Amino acid sequence: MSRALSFHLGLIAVLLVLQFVLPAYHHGNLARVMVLAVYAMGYNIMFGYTGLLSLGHAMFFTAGMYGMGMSVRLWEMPVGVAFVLGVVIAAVFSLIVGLLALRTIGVAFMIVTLMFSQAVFLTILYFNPVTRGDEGFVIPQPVRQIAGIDLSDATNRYFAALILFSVCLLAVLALVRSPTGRVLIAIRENEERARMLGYDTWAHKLGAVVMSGTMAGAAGAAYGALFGSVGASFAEVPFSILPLLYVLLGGPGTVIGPFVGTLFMFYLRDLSSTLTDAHMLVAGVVLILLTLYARRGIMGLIRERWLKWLP
Amino acid sequence: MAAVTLLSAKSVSRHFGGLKAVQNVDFTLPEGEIRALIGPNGAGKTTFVSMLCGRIPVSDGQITFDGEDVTAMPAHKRIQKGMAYTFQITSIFGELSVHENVALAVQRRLGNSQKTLDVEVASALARVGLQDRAGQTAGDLAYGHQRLVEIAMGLGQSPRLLILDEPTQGLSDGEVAEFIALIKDVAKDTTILLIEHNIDVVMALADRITVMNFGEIIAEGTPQEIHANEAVQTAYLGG
Amino acid sequence: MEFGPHLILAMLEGLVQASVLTLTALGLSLVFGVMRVVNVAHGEFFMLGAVFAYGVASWLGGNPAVGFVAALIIAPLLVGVLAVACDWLILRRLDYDPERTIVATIGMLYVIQQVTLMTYGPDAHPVTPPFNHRLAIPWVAFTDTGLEVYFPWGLSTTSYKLFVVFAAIVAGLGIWLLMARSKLGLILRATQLDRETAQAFGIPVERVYAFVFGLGAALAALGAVLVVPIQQAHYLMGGDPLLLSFIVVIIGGLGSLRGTVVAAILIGMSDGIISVFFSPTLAKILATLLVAMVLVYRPQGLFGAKPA
Repeated sequence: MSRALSFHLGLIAVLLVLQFVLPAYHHGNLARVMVLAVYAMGYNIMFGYTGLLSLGHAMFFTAGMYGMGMSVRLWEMPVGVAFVLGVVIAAVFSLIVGLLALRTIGVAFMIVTLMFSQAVFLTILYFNPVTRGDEGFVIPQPVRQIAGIDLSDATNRYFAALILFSVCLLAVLALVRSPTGRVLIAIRENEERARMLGYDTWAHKLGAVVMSGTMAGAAGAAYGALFGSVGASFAEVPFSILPLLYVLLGGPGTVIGPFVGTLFMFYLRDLSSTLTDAHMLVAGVVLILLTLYARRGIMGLIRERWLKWLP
Repeated sequence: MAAVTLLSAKSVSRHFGGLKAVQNVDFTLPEGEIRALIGPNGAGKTTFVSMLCGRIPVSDGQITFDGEDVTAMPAHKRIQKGMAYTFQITSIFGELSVHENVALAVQRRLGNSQKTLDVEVASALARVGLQDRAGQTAGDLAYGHQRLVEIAMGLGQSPRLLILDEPTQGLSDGEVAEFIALIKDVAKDTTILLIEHNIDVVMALADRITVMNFGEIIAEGTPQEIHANEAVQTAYLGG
Repeated sequence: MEFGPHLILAMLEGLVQASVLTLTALGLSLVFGVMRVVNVAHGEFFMLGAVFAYGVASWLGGNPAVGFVAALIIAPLLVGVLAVACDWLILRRLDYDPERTIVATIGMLYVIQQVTLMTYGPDAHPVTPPFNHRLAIPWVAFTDTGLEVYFPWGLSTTSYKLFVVFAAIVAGLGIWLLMARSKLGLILRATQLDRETAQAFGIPVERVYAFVFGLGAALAALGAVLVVPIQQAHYLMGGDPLLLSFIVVIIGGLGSLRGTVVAAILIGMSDGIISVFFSPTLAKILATLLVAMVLVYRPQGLFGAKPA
């Protein structure tokens, strides 16, 4: 087994062990962190590996969340099926967004993604009678079950989050080490050169957007199913900025970076909220410092200095 | 043996707004030939070649490669058909290693097997003399060596047609000599189209020379013919 | 209210919004035009203008007119200085790389917004306008005796709102004079056209950039000071102006000041009208989708240069 694979399996093993060891507060936090890390890993595929900076990723997360949530609330689908539906909706939505947004590059791309995301947020609010957007709605505990397993139970919830996280982590690892993953990196580094080596760069970018959006949607659907809340606030701009922050901090272009960044920021905000209500202040300061001094992020720095084999 | 035409352009033009960069060019390149494309700065050489490989679209005219009309074909598809292009200003993946650079060129052809990939990359690097630098970050190399990486990437694609845009620019005399030997070797199984300003290189390598000025072809022939051609002398000396 | 008067009312409100939006969007347009920088924190500079205006007015106390005039001068100045500091300390060090600048300005957005939350607080505070007379507006109606002029109930504006429109026009003309007729404007336009050549001519590009960034922020702050007697000052009030300014600048064409003004009037008016007749949320949805589609299909906007 390669070093990279054993490293990542090791992380999963550690998380598995922690299930039995952590006190309740941190146990719940870690479940949340794992789901948010899936969101960040999705973002990393687009940003860290392909070099596409989207400022509207919350729309994919929300597509999955609302796809799942509305199916349960309006059509009383079982949560397991609704989850799959949420993921499918996110996938289709990211395909549509990709087809439109990839006609632009650079700054225009960032603004287009921001605008689409704002439109999604506003649309959820506009159809408030159906979506209950501004207050959000709760998926009641008795409903949150898959095959009889109660998802609101802390242990089951943790395992569900861990399964989703592990699948996505290993998927990203496989992608990144595959020829397709190498092409994505090439596109990030020098798109014109990649094109003149015979690669259909547009198709690859579209693929990256769809994979990224689907993973974000899976995180959204999971978040709703596991923690029970669905609301428009997950479509707002700050929620689009968070995965950018997590990935930048943890290390763009590394597989494990998004998880590290999510974990770090989650606890940093947790700590700072005891000092002040203004928890996005920390996010702002960290963003400025990162982009000025530490663009490779934590794992990026570690990879450069010590662990050169880390994917 | 009759030479097969590998690449041809018919009545190809390109304008940018009012500026006619390339006008009504007819061009034929038989397989197996080394053709040099020369002309003063601003003659339209890079524009013409960019149309051949698909980087920019034609305003008018037709381009045929290996018997197929590729005029509307996007660049990456033409590359897949067997063209390879090296940039006038070196354009490699600076943050990746030399090995990874060439691997990207090779993997499209060979896909998945890591072992085959490594063998092909090593062979391409050996041909340009960079086998000892495979692990180095490409952007850290001297300019001349970066140009060699680009050529290695071209070779790694095993192309039918290798288009080189001013490949010896910035190389030292020794490096130029090595380059000439390399291309003579490569030309045994690849057709070469070479934009060059260095007349020594052109005379040493070219089977035939095409001369452009003001967006048109003003002369075409063997090196001896071109050397004696008055119109060419005027173009270069501005008479 | 009947349709006619209702439309006039909507148009008047739209005109006030358009005036403020013109100033704010001009600020963003200047910054993008000259520096090629997308400043996501632009809305926060707007908000600071309003908050500083409240601060100045309440600190001076007494006559609202005095407080307002002082705020009109001091608030944009303070915001401009703060913006210059941001540029000098942060953006300059990033060499204005587009991606890093956007990330940095996002960080600036949150720092400014949250510090305001921590100091000024989460509540909205009003600022008293310097003068505020209700002006009824006449309308015509067909009656048995022919065309008759009357004053529909509810159709009115205030002297202050008219002042806002007037002030925006004056400020807009001032910017135009600056850009088109002054030496400073010439320097700005030269730097916008070709940064390297400008540098070769001895223009201190970095200082020009700092000045432009400050001027852009000050314009937004000016717009906010004008609008704060009508709205209130709140730490989250920067979000809408940011979105609308973006929309205006993109539709008008990045780098075209004329396009910005035209688009600001169009969008301010239509936003006002749609908001009154339909819903503000719908107006915003249409606006954001419009921007996205413009960028996708006609990136040069109305007046901008067609990309190569």
